[in-house]
Amino acid sequence: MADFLTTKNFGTAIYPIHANETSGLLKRCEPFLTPEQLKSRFFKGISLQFKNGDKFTDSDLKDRINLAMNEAEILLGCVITREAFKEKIFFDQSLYKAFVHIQSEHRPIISLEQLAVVSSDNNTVFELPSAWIEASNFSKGLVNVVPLLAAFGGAQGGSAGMMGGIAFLAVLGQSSFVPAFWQISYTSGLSNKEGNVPVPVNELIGCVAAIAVLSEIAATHLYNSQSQSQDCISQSSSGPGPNIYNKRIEDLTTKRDEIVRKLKSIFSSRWFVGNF
Amino acid sequence: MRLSAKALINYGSVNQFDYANQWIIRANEPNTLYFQLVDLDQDELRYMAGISLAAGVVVTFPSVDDAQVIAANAVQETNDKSIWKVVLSSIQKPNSGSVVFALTEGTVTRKFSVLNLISVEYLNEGSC
Repeated sequence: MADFLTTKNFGTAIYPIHANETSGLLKRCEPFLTPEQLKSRFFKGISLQFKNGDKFTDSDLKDRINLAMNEAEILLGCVITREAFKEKIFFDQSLYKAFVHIQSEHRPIISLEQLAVVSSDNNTVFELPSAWIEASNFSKGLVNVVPLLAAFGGAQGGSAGMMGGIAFLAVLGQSSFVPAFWQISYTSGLSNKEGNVPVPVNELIGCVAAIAVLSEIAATHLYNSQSQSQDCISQSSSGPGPNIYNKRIEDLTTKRDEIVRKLKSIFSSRWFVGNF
Repeated sequence: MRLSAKALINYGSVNQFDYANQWIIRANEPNTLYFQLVDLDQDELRYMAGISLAAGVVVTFPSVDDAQVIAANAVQETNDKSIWKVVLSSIQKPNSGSVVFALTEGTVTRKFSVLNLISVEYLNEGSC
């Protein structure tokens, strides 16, 4: 768990982005989807019972919601709940001159706990004062260092180390590129209130869970068509035979490919552009 | 033995309660949350804690922020040793999601987490 004794944030909501105050007239956030909500929003009139007697219990639906939440995180490319991250980011001279301009891997940033220059053996060389950090673009995962107060001599109570940082950074500004230079510790997630999520996110989670459940149920429908003569002496049924699970396999294959694609994009870089 | 906990609601006595998927509570209100210990390896058979050894349960409502973590000692029901309750005051605001339990019997502590066991509603949910 993380310590948030020193933290910097912009002070507005994560959703709607930069909302400063809300009236309370419209509900835009809610706790995580529950099995009851999943049934009420997506399964009205649909039996969750299989022909062989199996059925989706509330525990099963809870598990499906958990699966769907994890899938939604991959689809959205961000974490749903507020989590703490630590990254090292390269030094680029042109970005440095553009008020540092650091882009975090995870976004939106909820709060920034530390921005520092940290050596490869984990020693903090210089920690930038939080007063210099511009938080207004945290929603885009963008961290800038705008030391206006320090530059104009208006900073109050700054220590020698804090003010000496300007000179330190000016010296480092002579390098064109350092592969791992800045270290940022921050939290990211889709809500300031832990355990609450934007309503559209819950709807996405519900859709993902419902698609999985319905796909599973649909695969067990044995017959394509059934007919019975008027005198009931004869009847006929036709089903997919050995192809019964083909649709389900097709659905799962599509899902597997999508997950593989997303996981690959998370764990491997597809391209890299540099200006060394 | 893999222990877990089931949420109990509408609790009146050891013979009068309902099982629920989760506790649904409102923030800023005092809440008493009841739960029953069960053994997942025995088809969720209730687990009577502290039959031969003194038992205690600490219920933790997690957060990424240490300052927001709530850890509360649960109180065991005398007439059914599988049932416990935890009392939260109005200023204790847990986060929605999983809940962590630590059952200590003698020198042995068993810890487990129950998925999405609590749902906390806020008065103004216009933003988050």
